[in-house]
Amino acid sequence: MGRLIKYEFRKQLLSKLIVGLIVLVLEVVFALGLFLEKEYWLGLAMGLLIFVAFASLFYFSFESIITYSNDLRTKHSYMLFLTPCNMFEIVGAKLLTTVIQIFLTGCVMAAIAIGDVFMICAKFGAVDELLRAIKEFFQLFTGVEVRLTEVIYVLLMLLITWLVFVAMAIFAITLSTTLLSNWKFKGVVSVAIYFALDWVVAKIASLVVSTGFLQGEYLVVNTDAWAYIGVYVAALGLCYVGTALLLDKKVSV
Amino acid sequence: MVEAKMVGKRYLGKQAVKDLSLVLEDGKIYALLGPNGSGKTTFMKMVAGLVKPTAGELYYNNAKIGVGSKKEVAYMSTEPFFYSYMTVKHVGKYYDDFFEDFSMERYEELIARMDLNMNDKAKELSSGLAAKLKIAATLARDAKLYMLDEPLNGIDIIARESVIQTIVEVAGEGKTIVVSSHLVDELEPIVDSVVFMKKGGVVIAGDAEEVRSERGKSIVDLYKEVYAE
Repeated sequence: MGRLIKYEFRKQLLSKLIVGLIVLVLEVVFALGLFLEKEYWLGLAMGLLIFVAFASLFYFSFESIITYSNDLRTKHSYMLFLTPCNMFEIVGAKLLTTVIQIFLTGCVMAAIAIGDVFMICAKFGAVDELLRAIKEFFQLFTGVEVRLTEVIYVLLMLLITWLVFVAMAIFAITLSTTLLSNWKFKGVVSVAIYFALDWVVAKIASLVVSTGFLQGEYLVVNTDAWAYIGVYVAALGLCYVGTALLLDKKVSV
Repeated sequence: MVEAKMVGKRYLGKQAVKDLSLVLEDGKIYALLGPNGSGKTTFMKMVAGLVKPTAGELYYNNAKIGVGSKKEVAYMSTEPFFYSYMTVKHVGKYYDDFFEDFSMERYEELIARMDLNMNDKAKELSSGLAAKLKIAATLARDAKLYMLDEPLNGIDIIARESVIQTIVEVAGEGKTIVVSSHLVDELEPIVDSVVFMKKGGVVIAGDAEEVRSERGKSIVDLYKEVYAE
């Protein structure tokens, strides 16, 4: 599967290079703004960096879906489906590539943001004040001490729900090119199936969670919280297995 | 080696292959003949595992087409299919990564023979050079069965000899080769067996020499007769 992941990354490399270049330019503007004490440059660079961070997370996930669609609809599909890899490996490689991309992009963007904030504080000699302010902010916001379990839970939930969004899209595309391939309005039908799946998963998740894991305004990582993630993990597994089986039995490229 | 039993493939409103029954034996060169739309490409793609039959049964060495057969079957499509970013070198590396029977040494030798350059971008090659690249990548595999779909398309008359020569060399190693082509006269001297396809089915199949003697015609003349109707 490692080889498949390698080529998935290679196929989507251009967008990473472009985003990397944009971030680099913005960091230069940020550094110039900081050292020349030009507040406008500083503000502009920070604003755009935040925008690029979120936009790239969205785009990289969307690009995974587009790449998969192209792998089924264009002649490039031969490159993938001629290889002696089973469909579980092929779909698994695609989903894993998406996970790794989201995770790495999130880590890199977070590291850049933290680095920039510390540079500002170092420049103005306020690192201690910053750390205190961050702690006070979280205490004010949640009313409780920030615990690692909750932070990890939130990050995990974001990652899994986002991955389910990608997996369901991949499953819907697979349906349109396999079981529905002879249907006239397969595109529209597959989009409808995607939204229906999304609704069903959200509904099941809300039913499974009995008492709720949001107590007032606070997040509590209890059994319900894990059950909520469990529903999304199950949806992910079903989309994965369903996609691989459909490709194995029905795909014609 | 390959056994098709009443195989069919239906696309939206179109029957590409219908009730096709055929056996391909080890160590022979087959000419798969027929006009556009006769089902040659669909049949080859089914054997390569790219297209799933909608009817009938298809076996490679008594097993269903799948991961196992893909390890031993080398398919060359008629259309360009390499990823846009790839150079000739990248194509070799890709095949080397995925196919255990691929020889980089053989690939480099074929690339040199075909007047290609390792740093050329695959998508920027002329149709003739792109065809040569596909042939080099496919024949650099030590596969048991080669399926070459229109390998002579876009290739000039001089280079065709080199391609045919390479195919004969590969065949000399006891491999099974299926070649589809409109250029019947150029294939006739090298093939052992012929399969004439029409409207998705097989109309004539057999040993080339026997077909010639039974019908008292060359394969080229028979081709004209079958498809002129």
